[in-house]
This record gives sequence, C-alpha cells and structure tokens, in this order.
Amino acid sequence: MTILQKSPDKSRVSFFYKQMIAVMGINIIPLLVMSTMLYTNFITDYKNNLIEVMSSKISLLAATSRSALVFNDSEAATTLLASLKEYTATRYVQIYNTDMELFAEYKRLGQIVDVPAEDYKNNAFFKNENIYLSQRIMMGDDYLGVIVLSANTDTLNVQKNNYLLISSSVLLASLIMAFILNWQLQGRLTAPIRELITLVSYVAENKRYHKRLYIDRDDEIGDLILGVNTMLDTIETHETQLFQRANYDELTELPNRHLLMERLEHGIHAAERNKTEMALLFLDLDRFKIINDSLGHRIGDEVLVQVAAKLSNTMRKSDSISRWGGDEFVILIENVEKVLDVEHIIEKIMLEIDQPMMLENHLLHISTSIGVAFFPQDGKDSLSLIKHADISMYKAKEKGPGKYEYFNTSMLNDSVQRLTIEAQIYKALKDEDFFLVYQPQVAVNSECIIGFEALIRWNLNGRFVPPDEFLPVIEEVGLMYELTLWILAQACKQNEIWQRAGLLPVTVAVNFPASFILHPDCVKNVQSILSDSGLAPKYLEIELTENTFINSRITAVSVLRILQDLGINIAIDDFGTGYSCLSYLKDLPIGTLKIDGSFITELGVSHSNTGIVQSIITLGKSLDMLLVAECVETELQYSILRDMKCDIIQGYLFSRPLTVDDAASYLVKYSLQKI
Amino acid sequence: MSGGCLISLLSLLLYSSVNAENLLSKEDKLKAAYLFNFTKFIEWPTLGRSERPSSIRICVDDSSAFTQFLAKLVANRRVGKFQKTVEVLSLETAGGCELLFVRGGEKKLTIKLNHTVVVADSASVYFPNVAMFFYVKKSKLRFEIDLKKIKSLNVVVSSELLKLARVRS
Repeated sequence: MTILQKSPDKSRVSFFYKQMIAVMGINIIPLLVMSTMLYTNFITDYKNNLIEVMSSKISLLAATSRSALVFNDSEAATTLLASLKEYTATRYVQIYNTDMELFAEYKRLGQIVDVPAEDYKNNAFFKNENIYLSQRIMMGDDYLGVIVLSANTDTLNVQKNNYLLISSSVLLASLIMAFILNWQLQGRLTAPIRELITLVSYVAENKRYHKRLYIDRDDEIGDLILGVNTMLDTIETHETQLFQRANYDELTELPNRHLLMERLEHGIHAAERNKTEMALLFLDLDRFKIINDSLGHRIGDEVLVQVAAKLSNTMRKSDSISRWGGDEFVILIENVEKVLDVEHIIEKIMLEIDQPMMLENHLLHISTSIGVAFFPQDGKDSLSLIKHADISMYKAKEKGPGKYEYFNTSMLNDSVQRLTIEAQIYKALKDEDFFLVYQPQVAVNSECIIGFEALIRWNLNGRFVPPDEFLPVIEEVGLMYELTLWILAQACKQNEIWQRAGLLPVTVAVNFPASFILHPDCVKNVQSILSDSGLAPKYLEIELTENTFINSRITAVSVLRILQDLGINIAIDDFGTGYSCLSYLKDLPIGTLKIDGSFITELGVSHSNTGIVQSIITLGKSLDMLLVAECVETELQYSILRDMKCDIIQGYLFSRPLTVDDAASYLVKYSLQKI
Repeated sequence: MSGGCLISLLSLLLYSSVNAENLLSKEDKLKAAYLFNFTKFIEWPTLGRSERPSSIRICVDDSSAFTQFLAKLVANRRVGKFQKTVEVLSLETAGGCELLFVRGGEKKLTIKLNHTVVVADSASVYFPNVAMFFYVKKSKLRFEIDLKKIKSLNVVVSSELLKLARVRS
C-alpha cells in the first residue's frame, strides 16, 4: 500500500501504519485479557475438577474404609487404599484413627509424607505442586478417623501447558485474523484519506488548485472531502483573483505592467530565437489630467475603459495591449516585418481614439501621443525598450497632441535634459525665478495701446528659457494650475499698480490653459485674485486655445459664462489652428478672436492664407467679436490687416514683450499722447 | 452418643464395666464389640419404620458376664438408618432375635429364627443355620459370612462388612 512520504527520513511511520499499530494494540489488549481469562478459567476449572475428582476419591475411600476402622482391620483398609495405585497421580493416602495413630496407608514408591496429618485443613490445598486433601471418616454421628490424600499435579501442569498452548494459539490466530481484517478495513477506510493526502500533496507541490475529489459518501469523511473541495474552490477563486489582480488592470481588464513585462521578456526570447523584430508602442493620452480634474475620476476612469476597448478592437489578438499606469498604455507588436506596418497600426490607433466619445452628456475628444521603440535596434532588453518608447512618447508629446515619434538615441540626451529641466523648474518656483513680460496690444484705428498680453519668462542662470521648452514640462509635472494662478495674480496686481499710478487703464490678457479652466476651483480663485489685487474684472482678459473645448465643452462654457458675467473678457488664442468646428463659436461667451500668428506671417505671401485671415475676421465681425492679429511684424501685414478691418494688432511691429518697467514707460508714453 | 469413635467408646465401656471386663478375655470383648458393629452393617427388612420404636435384639446364649458386657456396650446406642436401639437379651428370655450369638452347642430354642442372623463363636460351634462365625487369623479376630445363609434370611449385609469378612458363597 503506498502512503505518501514527503520526508526522506525512512524511519517516518505513515498514518496508516500508526493507525494499524494503534488498532492492533487495542485489539491485542482485550485478546490478551480474554486469553488470560480463558487460560485462568481453564486452569481453575481443571483445578476444581482435580479437587472434585480427588475429593470423590477420598470420599469413596472414607466411606469404604469405615468398616475396616470399625472392625480394626488395617489390612482391609490398606488393601482399600492400595486401590489408588492405578491412579498414578497419587503420592500417598493414609488413614488415621481417632487417636491420630496411623491405621493404614498406601504410599507410592519414592514418595514421602511431607505434610503431617495434623496440618491438613478442611479444604483441599496445593503445596509444592501437590494437592492435599483430608476427610473425616464418620459412621453416622460417630467419628472413626481421618483419611488424608496427597497427589501430584503433573496432569495439572500438563493441562496448564496444553491450555497455554491453546490460549496462545487462539490468541495468535485471533491476532492474525484481526491484523488481516484490520489491514483490509483500514485500507478501505483510509482510501479516501490517502486520496486526500495525494490531492493535498499535489496542491502543495504544484500550487495548482483545479483538482477535486469525487464525493459519494454521507459521513464525516464525506464532510472532510467536501470541506477540502470547498477550500480548494475558495483558494482557486482567490488564486484566480490574485492572478487577475497581479497581472491585470482592474479598471480596464487589460494586462498590467507585471504581465506586460513577462510577455515582453517572452517576446524578446522568441524574437531572438526566430530572428524577428518587435515594436513597442508607448501611449499616453493627451490632456487626460484635465478630464480627470474637471470631470472627476469617474469619467476619467470611463475614458480609460473606452480607450482600452478601442485599443482592443483595433489591435490583433496576437498583440499585447496593457495598461502601464495612469493614462499610459503599452502595446507590444511581435513579428514586425516593416516599419510601415507599424506606422499603419499607429495611424489606425490614433484614428480610432480620435473618435469623439459621449460620456454623461460630455462629448470628449481624446487623442494620444505615441512613442515607438523597436527590438532589437532600440533596446536589447525589456527595460531598455520600455524606457526608450517612453522617451519617444515624451518627444511626441512635445510636438503637440496626437503625434507619434520613433526612438532615436539623440532622445536620450533630450530625456536627460528634460529631467534636468524638471528639477530646475521646481527650484525656479521655489526661488521665484519666473517673471512676466507684457506685450502691448494696439488698436488699429487709433494706434493706441488698449492692453497687454502677459507672457511668462524664465531666467535660468542668465539664459532665458523659451516657454515652449518648460511649459510642457510644467504641464506634465502637474504644476500648470499653480503657475497660472501665479501669473494671473502677478498680472492683475501689476495692472492695478499701473492704474493706481494714474497710467492709461488697459486690459491685461492672461493665457489660461485648458486644465485651469476645467479646474473645479477656477472661478473661486480668479475671483479671489481679482479681489486681492483690486483690479476691475473688465481690465482682465482670459486667452484660451480652441482645444480647451475639445475635452469638455459644457464645463468650459459654464465656467466661461461665469467669468464673463464677472466682467472678464474672453479671447480665443491661436484661432484657426485648433479645433475647427466653428459652430461652437456662437454658443461661447467669447468677446475676442486672436488670429494665429502663422496666418499673419504669411499675409501678403500666400493668397489663400490672406483669404483665411479675411474669413476669420469676417466671421468674428459677424459674431460681434473683436479681432486681434498677433505676430504682426511688418508694415505690409499691418496694412493688410487694417484693410481687413482687424481691430487690434499685437507684434514686434509695435513692441516686443516688455518688462514691467518698460511696459510702464510704454503706458506713460501713451498716457501723455492721450493728454 | 455423639462424636466418639467406636473404638474409644469400646475402651470407655470396657473401662466402665470393670466387673464384666475382668471376667472376659480380650477376644470376648472384641467379639462383643463385633456383634454390636454387625448391627450397623446388617439391615433387617422386618425392622421397618412401622415397627418403631422396636429395638435390634441381640440374643446371647452365653454367660451373664459376656451378656452384661455387651449390654453395657450397646446401652443408649442407636444404629442403622432408622436409628434403632440395640437390646441385649438372654436366649432363654428372648421373644425374638435379630442377631443370635451362640457359643455353645445346639440348644432347644423357644423362639423362631425367621430373620435371625446366627453368629457362632467359632467354626467349631455346632448350631443350625449359622450365617457367621468368628475365627482368629494371625492373632487377629476375623469372621466368616455364609452368603447363602444370609440370603436365605432375607437380610441385607453391607458390602463393607462383606469386604472385611471371609465370604463363603
């Protein structure tokens, strides 16, 4: 019978054998007791029988020897006693008269009288392996004498040996029978236990929980098996859940970072073995933080779920799509034959994600930036590939939303530089190294200043860092909201200072990123800054890009309406380059359109471009909006714009962005002109 | 009498009957005792329960000393399964005997000896229907039983008695 032996220790005794030993031990005790009792009973019976036989003999002799005593015939008595000669156990028999004088005796050859007649007791007794009996010889009431008899107990000893043999044989036979029956019984009874042990060992060794035992019994063992099965069900469920949690993203149900790394490792080995290439796509949703901050995490989560679904629908089943974390997804494409194939896939992904999605009455436009790294040329191991795809993604993001970028080694330097910038930004914020410059906005008709656009600058160790270098980083690290508040506060405060100084009252335009508008505390903080600075809301203009309305138009519009109601003017910056759905213009509380500088630069050069500018101006006018042309640098541009009835000019033609003091001087100059 | 052995009793009685004893030989005394003991091993069917409290009568044709000794010996003694008393009578005066001890020659009897066991003093005593007689062998007193005679008397002699006796069949 095979019993599970986990320990290499050969002296280990299995449960089955222990139970057998215990049961046999339990069986042996009663059998031993019974055999002993049987043996004792046999011996006692035989002794009693011996005593009875001897008693009957001595009684017979006593009865038959009366007459010999009466007639004092010792010869007759001796003859009588000699009748015991045939009874070989007899040692001696004696008759004593009333004076205890020996009257007659029979004594076997070699036997001696070892117990005096006076020492005989009323009952038979055993001594020195002999039996001794005595009986008074009576005739009616007359006492005639006493007869004593001694016999050896050789037959008793023989019987003892016989009985011992019988008892031992019965005991041995019983034990053998008990052992065989118990062996069979234990085998049957412990069969399910052994199955359980085998199952538990299998589970312990293989860490697999799919096996179950069949239950066909309604007893405690059945309960035990049911319990183990139920336990395995629970463990398997937990194991599945643990595996799911360890390897899959709970929200999107896509493989998580852990499983991706496993698949990537596996894919690298396969690619090495098969001499094939792989592409790793690192996706990061654009402006997702804005959605999360403005519409809440619930909608943010739903966006992630829908993006995951879109990716799953777009990609082949052989491709591994995983959620890397946050709004980042990683796609592993194996067996890549041509870069062009990857490019088609990327475009397909972008096209699918670009499709607007309606979530709780919010029409959202999502885009993604994608970084691409190839195996083996861009990285020999999984970590390198991930890192390089990530860097590529950041590079793509720098180009604007909805772009993708292939990895090249020069990006590594850029990446290092970006990290350096991040660190320097934190330091700059702490040390207040940022400052504002103000670019005048001049009315076309009067050529009089009507406002400034506040622009941020960063003096990094004597070098001015371009805003397009550090602003995306600030957006990425999540500091844009705080920076915007700081800019707003500075601009409002400065404008109020100028006005209090008696300078020409002008508006100050501050660029609001989409994330700021969609921030839940946007209105409250704007009000607070205006209140703190003392600036009238009508002297504040907010510049937004068209993309502000892409993610959540409803929320943006509601916020803007509140700000407009406060008296703040709303301007659309870089108009014509972003979200091109013009129908929203009529619904938005917009007072100003700022034509993107790229159109202005081409004025007079490209006929079609001039037409676009004219169309924008016509559109703005038809909606009672002011038109601002930025990046105006030449007289020709100015002339054309004036002819097109553009309202306001901003650009180097009139002034570069000015420091606070220069701006104040500029205002002073115009203030004097006005006087 | 309780608890005493017959031999001791015999000695005691012999001692108490000094006069009679002195007149009797040891052999006679033994014979007297034997006669008494015979009553213990012989059953007379005529002495049934209905005849109680009648006694077992031992008739003696001998001298008064023997009779006197025997009478003293059996006085107040009861024998047999019916616990009959034993009475010693002179042959002349007896109305009947269960046991008759004859020492001399044939005499004219006035009684019928239907079931009487006649015991002769010796083999030389001539008497009709003697069923038992004493003899001495190796200086020991012995007795012989004529089984045929005993059977004719319709009495039952114990095998124990027969075992001790020399039996003539």
